[in-house]
Amino acid sequence: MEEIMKNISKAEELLLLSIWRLNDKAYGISIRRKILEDTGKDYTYGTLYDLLRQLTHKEYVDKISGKSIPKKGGRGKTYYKLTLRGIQALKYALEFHRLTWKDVNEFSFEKI
Amino acid sequence: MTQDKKSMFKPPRFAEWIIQRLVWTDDSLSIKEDLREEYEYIHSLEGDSRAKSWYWRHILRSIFPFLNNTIYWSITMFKNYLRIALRNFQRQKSYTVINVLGLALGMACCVLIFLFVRDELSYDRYHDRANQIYRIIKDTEVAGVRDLSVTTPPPMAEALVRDFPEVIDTVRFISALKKEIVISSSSKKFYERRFYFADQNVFDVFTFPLVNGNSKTALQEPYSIVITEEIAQKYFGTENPLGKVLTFNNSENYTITGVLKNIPSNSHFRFDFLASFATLNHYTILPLDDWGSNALYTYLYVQKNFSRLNFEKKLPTFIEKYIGQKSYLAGLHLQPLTSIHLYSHAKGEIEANSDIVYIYIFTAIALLILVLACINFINLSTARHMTRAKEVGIRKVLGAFRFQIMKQFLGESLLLSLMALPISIILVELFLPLFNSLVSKQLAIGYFTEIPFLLALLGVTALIGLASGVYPSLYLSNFQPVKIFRGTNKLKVSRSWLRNGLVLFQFAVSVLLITCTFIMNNQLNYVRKKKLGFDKEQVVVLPIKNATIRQVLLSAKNEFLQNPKIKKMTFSSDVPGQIGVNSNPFLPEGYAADNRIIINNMRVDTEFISTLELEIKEGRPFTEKFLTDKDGAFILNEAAVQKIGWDSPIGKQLTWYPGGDRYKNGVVIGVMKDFHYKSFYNEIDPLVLHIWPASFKYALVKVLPGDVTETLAFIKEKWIGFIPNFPFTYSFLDEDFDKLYKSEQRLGQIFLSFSFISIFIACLGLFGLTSFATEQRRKEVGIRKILGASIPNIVLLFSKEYIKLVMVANVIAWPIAYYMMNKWLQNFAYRINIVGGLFVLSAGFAVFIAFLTVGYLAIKSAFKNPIDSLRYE
Repeated sequence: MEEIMKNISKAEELLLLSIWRLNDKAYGISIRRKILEDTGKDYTYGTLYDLLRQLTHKEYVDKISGKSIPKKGGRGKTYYKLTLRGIQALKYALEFHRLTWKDVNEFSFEKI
Repeated sequence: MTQDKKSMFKPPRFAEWIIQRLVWTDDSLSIKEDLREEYEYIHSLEGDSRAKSWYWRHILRSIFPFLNNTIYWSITMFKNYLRIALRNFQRQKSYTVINVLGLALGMACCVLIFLFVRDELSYDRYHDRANQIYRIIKDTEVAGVRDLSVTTPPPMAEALVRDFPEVIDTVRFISALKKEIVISSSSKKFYERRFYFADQNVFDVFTFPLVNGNSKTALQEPYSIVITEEIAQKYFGTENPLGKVLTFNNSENYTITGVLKNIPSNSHFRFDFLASFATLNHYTILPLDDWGSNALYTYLYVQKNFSRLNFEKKLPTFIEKYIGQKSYLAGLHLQPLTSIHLYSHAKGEIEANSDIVYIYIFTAIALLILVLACINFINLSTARHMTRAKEVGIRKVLGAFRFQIMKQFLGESLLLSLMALPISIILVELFLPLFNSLVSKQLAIGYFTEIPFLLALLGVTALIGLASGVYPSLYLSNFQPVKIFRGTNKLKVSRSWLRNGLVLFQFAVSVLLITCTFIMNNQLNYVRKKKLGFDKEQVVVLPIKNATIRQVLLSAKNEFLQNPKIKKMTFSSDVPGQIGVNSNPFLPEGYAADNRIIINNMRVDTEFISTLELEIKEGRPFTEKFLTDKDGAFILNEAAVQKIGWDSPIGKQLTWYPGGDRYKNGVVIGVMKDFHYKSFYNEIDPLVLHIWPASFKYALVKVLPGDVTETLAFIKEKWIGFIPNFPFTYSFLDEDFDKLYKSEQRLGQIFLSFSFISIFIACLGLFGLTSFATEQRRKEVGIRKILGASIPNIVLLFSKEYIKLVMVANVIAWPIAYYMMNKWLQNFAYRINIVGGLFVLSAGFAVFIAFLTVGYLAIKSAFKNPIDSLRYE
């Protein structure tokens, strides 16, 4: 049964993509760094965790506590992982993007 | 990035603390760790200061999202708590109802008492200059008795202004002849009591706004008068009364020069008519420069930084200057205007004052009742702790801090008290009419006008909820999940010292109130039924307001007696029970010429003694047969004989000095048994009876028992026939007498109501606790039944503990009740003995009620089929 997908916001999209790219290593500091590297956007931890909380609430992302495998001398990292819904949301976003940006490239904006 | 703890440069602690406070989710830990990693990285690259500044900037930029996070999380938690709380309320409706009802009752009581107290404290404060107005009163010594008296001589006011610069102005009031007078307009005629004369500057000093007329000139001319709106309505309807004429006692005409807004009810005295003081220049009865005639009330308007103590120190010199060494005046005192209503108990108060004691008592009672209700809440919550145990355990396992759990339960109790608020408002509105009639006021809550009050009410409700919830939430949040889930926390109704102690307190308070009520009612009954020494039944009192009425009634006496229903008719200057019996100097035989003693005396006629069925001990009563009785006979009561010191009073000479140069010589012809001509507050003072028709102020008509309406109609008819000019009024002697105890009666009624309420609340609590106990112990009951226990056994099982508690509560309450009631009874010269039987009665009553409550539930549980109780395992 297909759920009716709502659009996710740009920020959410960015975050979901980054988490997806990071595979199983998506925790606070790494997500922030990844976004900074990829896009140059300097998200604060505040915004980051706020977004993460929203994504968790919407069930696009799971918040997994790393307590089960305590690292030696380290901390229990909680990391984030995309859910099935999250992946679907990304797919939808991609579709949507393709639809809206169809036949448009960077030269289309140069008008006479 | 190094993970070596030793080389870690930690970010500023203060900054981390801020994060901890801003972020309430468990993300705070992750955030801090993430930031710490970055911090170390930057630190190693760019050094300490750069790292620090980065850190701080980062936090600053994150503040808003942090808060957003926190708010969102708080809302979610709040919704969860709310849902759980409401679900709990629904599932255990009866407990919720008990709690809410009890709290609502307690709050309603407090609101009512608050309204009362607020009104009492507000007396006379509406005057703009209330803080600068004082009343001056006399400290007198008459016949060895020290007293405060309200009336002052006319020239005092002017002298005060003259001699003391700190007295800016004075206002004098004097009432019109102290009795009822007749006021008539062109079409209406009524008896009025509240007619006063006042200086023309009364409106400058006091705040009595004029609706019509000029406050500066209204009372300037003699025979001008201002009336209240109510009076204007009464006499003139909707017409403008300005310029119209009112006739005083069918003789003098006053012109209306102003209409006042009705005098507020919170004034220590109120008037309907205010006539100009200048009018009194035309009266010869009141010499305005006589320092010896104490007839009026003097108020002072003083400067802002006035010191009462310093002023009073100067007064003795003042007294010496004008009054000299008058024997009766011991001093002068100043009373602040705003304190008169609650603190002044001088003689001759214009209107009866209240007492600050009542305020204390009522406030204490209201607070006590509220405490009782809160105790119920505490008891029920802690008793039922087991029902919430699992929830608490799970929450803790999931990571809740103790503080969070406390917040949850505090929130629940807050919710309960907020739910009780509208119910208490409804209760207040329901009982307000009854309460108002009890305290003779017109209290009300202004829902639209008193926003601060309503807000305060809300705040107090919240406070109550929080205060009641503190202990239960501490108790409930204390659970250790391990113990709960392991099942070692036994499901028993634990013997909690605190809970039992609280129930004890509740019942002690209730028993206290009940005992006091019993004693008070006993005293009042005693007072009402006690032999007064005369017969007050079936006596109609007709007040004689002036000489015309007196003459008419005296001559019409025979006509009255024609009626077979009228047994006797007599006249006197005073009626037993009236407060102001006259006292004059007498010179008994054997005393030195200048050693007169002051004795109360009543001027009566020959029928007086037989009409009231007074008992003559020695000698004989007055009779028509001896003509000398009219002018030269005295009858003394036992107390008078004792005071004078005669052994055989019959035949001794006595001279009466009514004032001025007059005197009357006479012989003592009889001694009568003491009778209570004043209230039971006073010992029976010495009294002399003699015949003096000029002083008759009352006609007493003794009618046959049975239906008196016919006889009354007859009397009224005759009256109207003889003296149509003066309205017919009457009263019954026994009712008049009872009125003396009105304030005691009211106190008794109030205590009665409060006892009811408090024992109701205590029983509510008992009901809740017991019903929980029976529910918890149903298995035990089932087993006992199987093993052969009978119904009474089961009932006893549950009631034992609480009956014991009630007994102990009684023992605690008795001494306190005894002490309090002893003090109250001191007010009465004639009082009951506080007998042990009363205590036993109240104890029995309390035990009975408690037993009913517990017994009902115990019986219900005893009748349960054991199979049902033991079925679910």
